[in-house]
Amino acid sequence: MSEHPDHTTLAKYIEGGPVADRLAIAAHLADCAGCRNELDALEATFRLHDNVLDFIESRRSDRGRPQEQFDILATRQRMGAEAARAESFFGELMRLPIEEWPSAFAQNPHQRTEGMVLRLLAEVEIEVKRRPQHALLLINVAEIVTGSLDIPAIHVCAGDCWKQRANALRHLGRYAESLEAADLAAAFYRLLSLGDFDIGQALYTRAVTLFKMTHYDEALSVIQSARELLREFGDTMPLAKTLILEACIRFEQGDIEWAERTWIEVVPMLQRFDDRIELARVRANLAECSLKRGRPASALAQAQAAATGFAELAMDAERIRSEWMVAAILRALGEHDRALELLYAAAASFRALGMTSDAGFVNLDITEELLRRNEWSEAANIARELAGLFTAAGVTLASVTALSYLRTAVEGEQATPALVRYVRDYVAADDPARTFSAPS
Amino acid sequence: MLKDLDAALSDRVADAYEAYFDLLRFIARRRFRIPAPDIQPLIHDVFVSFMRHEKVIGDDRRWLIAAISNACRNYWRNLKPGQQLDEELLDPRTPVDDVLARHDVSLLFARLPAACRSILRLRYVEGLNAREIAAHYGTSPGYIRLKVHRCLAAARRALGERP
Repeated sequence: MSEHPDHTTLAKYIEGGPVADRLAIAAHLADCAGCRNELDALEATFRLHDNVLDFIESRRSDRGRPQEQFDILATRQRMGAEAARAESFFGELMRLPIEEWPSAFAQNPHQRTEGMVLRLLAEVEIEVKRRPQHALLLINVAEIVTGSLDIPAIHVCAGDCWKQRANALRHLGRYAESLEAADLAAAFYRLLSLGDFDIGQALYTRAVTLFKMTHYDEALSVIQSARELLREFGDTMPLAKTLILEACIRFEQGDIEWAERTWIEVVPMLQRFDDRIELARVRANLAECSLKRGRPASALAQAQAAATGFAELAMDAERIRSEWMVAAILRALGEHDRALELLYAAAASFRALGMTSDAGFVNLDITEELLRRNEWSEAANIARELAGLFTAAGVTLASVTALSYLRTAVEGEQATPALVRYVRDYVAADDPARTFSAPS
Repeated sequence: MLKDLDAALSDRVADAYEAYFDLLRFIARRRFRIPAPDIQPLIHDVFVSFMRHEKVIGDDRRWLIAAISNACRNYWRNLKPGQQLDEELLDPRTPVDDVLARHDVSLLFARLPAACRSILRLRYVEGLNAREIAAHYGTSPGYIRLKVHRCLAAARRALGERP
């Protein structure tokens, strides 16, 4: 079949009705993306009609039912059909370079739906951390599709696009633009008849960027506004994330008690949503709070729970960090042998993952512990590895000088645990403007 | 197809609709005094938003009540731009708590015998004392006190049962 089948023929084809040459139509559909789209759209429409007709039939005995039920169901069916069609078309888009996606939508205007915007933004959520620049391109396409929608969908989707753009720009370190994008998201959400839930999330996005900029006071003020808006809606994931961020800000500001109280509050919410990643992170944070507040036994339980959680999720780097924290807590509890075993294991695991900077910092802990035991020879072996590990991690020459000073001091049996901590702080800051000078 | 439809109808959105439609309408009409013809589109918008966000919502009832309250407040803001809303309507907690309490009490009353509904309404909604209720029924205050006591016990039992 060389010509494209018309709508009537496609409709008969779907319904199994008599058509001239079924095999020829099937062969044509296999080669023609445009006709496949038409077929998908027709099928979705048929499904919607069938569902609505079935629904009406099933409710014949219930004439008194409010009209809204019908509307809600029809809306949901439409959204479901749109989502299915968007998924299918997205598969086709993925075979094209992203630069060609706008023209693909120009050729298939019926694919410019709210469902398509949601599908594109779902992809953005996957890509935003790993490939933020690519995420921005996806958002641009989503915005083109948004331009074809009606009110209020255009306002919701435009708000969603700007919110995700704020996230992508933050990951690229373009903080000022990220803040502007978050404000624009909130502005679009304000146009909605019930936008508070979305506005709360736009404020959260703004607060995350301010937090990354270390503007803690401003971030706290914004996150409190977000919390006020979201709290009214009961337990939700956006509220849980908002509380987690507020706790992080309080922690950075030194209000450990408040941070701990807030993280404790959020645990049942995360359990309810079965968000095991955030749960493990919160447990790790609670371990730090307990340790800072002089409750190492409680800290140990939280850190071990975090390590177990990350192990179950196969999040190796996070697991090793939690085990490193367990080692620090064991040292605080006086269980130095177990702590040292864990430290060696953590350093080896970080090295195996190519995380040389983390491996270097663990080695500094090992050095400190060995000095405490007066095990000079082994401490010197570890200290000799430090410069190599941190150089591989790309630290400044000044930091390498500091590590070299430490190595010499350990080899000469002159180093102290306090010197190790001094060097660690210096390397952690890794400030090229600050020349290294030995502690007085 | 019918099987699919049944599955769809028994899903979360349909369940939430069945469970809370009356409550949302009650809030819009009684608490926020939204004109009857405008209530339907507001509730529809609330459920569309619910569908968009359902994966991140933990407490359907609380979320829907907050959403309809938000929609009702914005309804009046849009209708009378520049005018300050009543303090009562702006406070998100007071109206919701108040409406929830009334709604729960009305649901509870519906599960009590008619005599109890009437006597508890006079006592706790109208605020009459035992003597005034007794005069209303042409009986003694002591009998009314006993009756109130028994009806409250029935209400407590009803609270412990599922509706």
